[in-house]
Amino acid sequence: MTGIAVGKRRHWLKNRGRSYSRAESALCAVLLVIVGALVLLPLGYLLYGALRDSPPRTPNAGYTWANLVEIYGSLHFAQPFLTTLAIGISVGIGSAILGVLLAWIITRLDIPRPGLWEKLLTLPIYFSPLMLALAFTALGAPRVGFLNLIWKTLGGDGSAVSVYSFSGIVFVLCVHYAPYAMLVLTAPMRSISAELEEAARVLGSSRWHLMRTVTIPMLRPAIFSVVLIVGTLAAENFAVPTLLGRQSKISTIPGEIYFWLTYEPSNPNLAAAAGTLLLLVTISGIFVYRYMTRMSGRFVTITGKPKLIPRLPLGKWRSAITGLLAFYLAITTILPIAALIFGSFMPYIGQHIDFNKLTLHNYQAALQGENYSAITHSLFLAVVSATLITLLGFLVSYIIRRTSVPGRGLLDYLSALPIAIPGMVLGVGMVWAYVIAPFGLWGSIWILLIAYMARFIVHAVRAINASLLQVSGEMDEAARVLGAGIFRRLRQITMPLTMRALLSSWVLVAIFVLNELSATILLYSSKSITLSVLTWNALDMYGAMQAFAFSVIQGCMTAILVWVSYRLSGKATW
Amino acid sequence: MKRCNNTRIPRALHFLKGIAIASALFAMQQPASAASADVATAWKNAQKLIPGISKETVDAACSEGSAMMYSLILRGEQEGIIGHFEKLFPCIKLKVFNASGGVLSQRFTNEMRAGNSPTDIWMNSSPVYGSRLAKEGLLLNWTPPTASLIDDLWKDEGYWYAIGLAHIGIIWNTEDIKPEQKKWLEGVKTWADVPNGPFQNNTGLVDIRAGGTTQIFYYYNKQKYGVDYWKKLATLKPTIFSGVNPLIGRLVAGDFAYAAGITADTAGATQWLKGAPLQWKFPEPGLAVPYFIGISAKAPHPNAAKLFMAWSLSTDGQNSWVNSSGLAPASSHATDNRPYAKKAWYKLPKTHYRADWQKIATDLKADTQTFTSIFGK
Repeated sequence: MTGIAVGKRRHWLKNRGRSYSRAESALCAVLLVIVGALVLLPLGYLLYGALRDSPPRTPNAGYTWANLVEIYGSLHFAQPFLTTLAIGISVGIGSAILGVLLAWIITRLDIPRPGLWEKLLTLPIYFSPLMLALAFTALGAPRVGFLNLIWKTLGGDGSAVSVYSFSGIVFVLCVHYAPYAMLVLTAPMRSISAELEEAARVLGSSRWHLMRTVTIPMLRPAIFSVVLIVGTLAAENFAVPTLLGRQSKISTIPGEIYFWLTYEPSNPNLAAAAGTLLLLVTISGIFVYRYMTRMSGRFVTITGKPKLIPRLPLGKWRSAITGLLAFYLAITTILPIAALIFGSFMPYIGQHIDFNKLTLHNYQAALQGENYSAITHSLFLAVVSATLITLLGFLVSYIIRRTSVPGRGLLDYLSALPIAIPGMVLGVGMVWAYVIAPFGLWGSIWILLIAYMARFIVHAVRAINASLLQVSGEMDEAARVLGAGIFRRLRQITMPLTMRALLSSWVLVAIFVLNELSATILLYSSKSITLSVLTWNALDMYGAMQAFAFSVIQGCMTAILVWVSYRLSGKATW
Repeated sequence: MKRCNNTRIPRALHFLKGIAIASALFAMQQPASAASADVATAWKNAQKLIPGISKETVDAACSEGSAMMYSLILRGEQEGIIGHFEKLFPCIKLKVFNASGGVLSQRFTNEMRAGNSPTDIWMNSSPVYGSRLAKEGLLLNWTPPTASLIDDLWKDEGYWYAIGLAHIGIIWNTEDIKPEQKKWLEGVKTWADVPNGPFQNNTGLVDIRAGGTTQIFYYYNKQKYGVDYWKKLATLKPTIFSGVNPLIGRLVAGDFAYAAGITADTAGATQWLKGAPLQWKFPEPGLAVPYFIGISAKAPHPNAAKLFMAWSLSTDGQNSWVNSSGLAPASSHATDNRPYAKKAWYKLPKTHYRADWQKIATDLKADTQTFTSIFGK
């Protein structure tokens, strides 16, 4: 290879018979320090707070087991815990199934305008789960939801749908997270080399047999990753189960945490103890994930020059499949977004739709005064956080998947830990950890950046992991043998090969940051207010319609970010 | 190359230099003259509106120049209260951080205990929490000259003072009630009547854990009428909400017609002002929660905070708080110009229940378990 120094010596070390360089070892150490500081500092305070009877630095506070006994030792929280698990598992599996189906249709079937469909199907991610829940209550509230009003007009009895139910909660969360699953799975599905499938077809395999025995198993790490991450995100969501579940007496652990943190008298120590429960569950899930993907070599599909798989011609089924996609889009995206946009022009939602009441007041209020700074803060945080997190996640993922340095397993667990903690509980840990931070860090916008890095690094690592699993290490090994240093290999080999995954990860993280509320609500200040906080405060005081207006603005900002990233993605090459 | 000579600089450049120097001198003059005019205005208004406040306090407040308030989320706060205060006292800029009660309390106490708080003024609606912080030394001990204008029921003298009251009442959707239900609502006089409403499967309530405004409703009625009162409410098969605002949204949408234990002047009135078909009343005795402010013991701008507090408790300040935020007056000197207060159906309660907030807080855990066993989780 031109430009690579030949004969340059490297110091190689050994770990269980595999070699790694000092540079890799040093990079791993630096990443351990950075990720460790981001994650362990608030987590440490959280565990400390779970063992105290008052928040840190309270005079005369003491240690106690009472919080942990109340969470683990009483049956009082058994039902919310089981409900939380049920929501997580249902949404994780449901989103993964939908994600596989949608990714397969987008990447493998000969549908018209697949690029456009891919963009349209990701729209639900632009809106936070809370906003989707509000939009679906406008549609599916018993008696008065738009769909039930239509049902009554058509002569139906009672209510056709009720969003205030367990299935309503699972439905809304699946609608939000299925596009995430699709985005995570699209990159590895595209990356599967054609040779494997061609070989299977030549040997007589049917398409269904091929899907079952080749395609799905090759995607197994990515699917497990999606089930784990989406399941955990769904389980730790407090807004949707609280809004949709309370009326049906459905309570979850995050819902209980929400009460302990936001209403007086607050009980952050009990909330911290409840956070440890979710942490244990997710650590078990990560352990299972690492076990299932331990033989990562089996999932490699890119070696040297990959050959892309041609799309399957649909023939007479083309219209039907396209119609199915359109129906899915209508139910999950067009109807709720229409309800959201319509609601943003109303002062309130009443029993009858009165077009004379349409008003711009919600938008006039949304674009006044300090609300402008909320828009710029949100944009700044989304762009900078997404860039830093993707870069950090890329380095972490590389160390975990491409090296054999000691400590990479610990790095894997550290980067995944924050997903186990509800954002609100992590926020409490960060308040306790960073309230004494010097140099004006506390109360500044930088504290939110740190919080987002801690909270979302797992998404970057998982998305890039899934892509790296399909990229053979042989090219990297070859470059290393020829004397290329680690950063050169990262820049010239690994990064170009995983560029799609990096851009997907960037988009995802930017969207998550824009919609993030649960940690932000505890950490923001008058100098760092964001759109998500304005939305929540509007819900708390001015009514849902004002919150809808903020949400539409937030959705437009997300759309711009995604459009920019898609433009850049189009320029990404092997 | 010829050296540049002063005599060779074009006249235009000299002229521009002169303009620049004159502008700089003028600009340097502006802040000072503007500042002294602002201070004079502030003192003039302070003398008129806050009798008893010292000139030293006002001068010190003006030289501090700003104050940070940690405030609950109230409608009309920015224009009606902050804007009005800054017009009266133009030498002071008020910055506000809004959040819900629990978040605000956690934030304030964590920052104070870490010695890293930017707060000057702290607002809350939990009297027991306010008094606990006062005991811990986190609130400044200072009595404003306007303190006597606030009724004794609504202050912890020297520490915190109410700027308004959130009354608890019953509320209904006027488009969704039948004539017999309307007649029953007009006949409601005391809290004893409330669970007897003809609103089976048509009632909304708020979870007892959703703050002091719901706790006082459940606690008072349990204390007065026993747990049977809660059981009677449960026979209405109410829908339980996690907070007042989600309940009001569903009430307006027609999910149900009637709700009890609601802070109607804040949450309900916000929708009423937009045209929502709501009406409410306050059974006797009046159940109310004070929204109060206190000064941080380590306030970075203590004099600006004192001026703001003293003004808030004055007649002018009380009028601003009441007519902008929608809270009921905590002072009998305030003029109630809230639009709904002029309606024939609106009447404030004649008497007020004197709540033992400490007891309410102590009993909350047991009461929550009782609530859950009666209304379900």
